[in-house]
Amino acid sequence: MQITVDTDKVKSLVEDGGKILMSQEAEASLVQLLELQKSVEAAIGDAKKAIEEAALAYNPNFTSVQGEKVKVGYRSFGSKYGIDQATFDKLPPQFYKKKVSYSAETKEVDKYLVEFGSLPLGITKIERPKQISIKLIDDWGDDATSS
Amino acid sequence: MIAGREWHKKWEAEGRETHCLPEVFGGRALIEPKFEKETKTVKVIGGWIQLVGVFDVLEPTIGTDFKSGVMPATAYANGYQHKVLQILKPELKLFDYHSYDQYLKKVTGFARVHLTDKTLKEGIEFVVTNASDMRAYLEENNLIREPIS
Repeated sequence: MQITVDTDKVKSLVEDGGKILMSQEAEASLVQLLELQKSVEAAIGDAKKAIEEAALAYNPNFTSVQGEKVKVGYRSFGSKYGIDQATFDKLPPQFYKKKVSYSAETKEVDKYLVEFGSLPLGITKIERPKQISIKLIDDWGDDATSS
Repeated sequence: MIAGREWHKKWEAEGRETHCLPEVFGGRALIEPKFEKETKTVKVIGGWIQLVGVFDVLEPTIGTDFKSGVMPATAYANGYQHKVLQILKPELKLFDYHSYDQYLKKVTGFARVHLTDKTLKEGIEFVVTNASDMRAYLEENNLIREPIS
C-alpha cells in the first residue's frame, strides 16, 4: 500500500469542503478528505500490528520503545477485573466497591425552568459548545466513516 | 537492595555461561557481550567531573540494564540513566531495560530507548548540572579541598 499526501491538495480540499453550505459540489472534497483519513487510520492500524508482531517476536516481555519523536507503548487498557452478575450475590464485599451516580432528569428540569425562570437548586447548566461532525454515508445507507 | 544484588549476580552468571540474556528476560543471543566490572568506564568531563559507570551487559551497539523491584522497565526508559551511560559509550545506538518484580515473581517489562545526539546532549547537561550542585554543596560545607578555579 502506498499513501501519497499532497499537502497543497489537502489544503485546497479543505477550502473547497468549507463551502458545502452553499455548494453541492463541495461534498466531493469532503469525501476525498474522509477517504484520506480512513486510509491513514488504516495505515496506522497496520503499523501498530506490525510493531506488535515484530516486538513480541524480538522479546515477549516488550512494553515500550522510544525514539526522539515517537514513543510506542504496549499495555492493557480498562479495568483489570469485572463483576460476574450471575454469582454476584455470593461475592464477599471486600472484593467490590459500590458506585452511585446521578444524572439530571432533562425533561423535568426543562419544565421547571419554563415555569420558574431558573434552574432548581442542585442543578447546574453545562456549557456544551457545538461541534461539526462529518459522516460518510456508504452505498448501504449506514454511516461508514465519521469524523 | 541486598535481594537486588543477588538477582543481578544470578543474571550475570547466567549471561556469562550462556552468552544470552537470562531466560527470564527473553534469552536473546548476545553479541560479543561484556558484563558488569569488565564494562567499567571512566571519563572526565569538563576537566573536573569524573564520571564512572558500569553496564549490566555491554554489546557493541546495545547497553543493557537489569532491574529488580516494583518499578517497571518503561519507567526507567523515561529517566536519565541511559543518557548518562551514553556519555561513557557514545557509540551505543540502543539501551534496553529489563525489569523483574521479585515480589510478584514475574517480569514486568522490556523497554528500549534509541540513543541519539539529543539523548547524549541531555545526558551531558544532566551530569554537569547535578555535578555543579554537588560541588557547590561540598565547597560550602568545607568538604572539599580545592575550589573550582
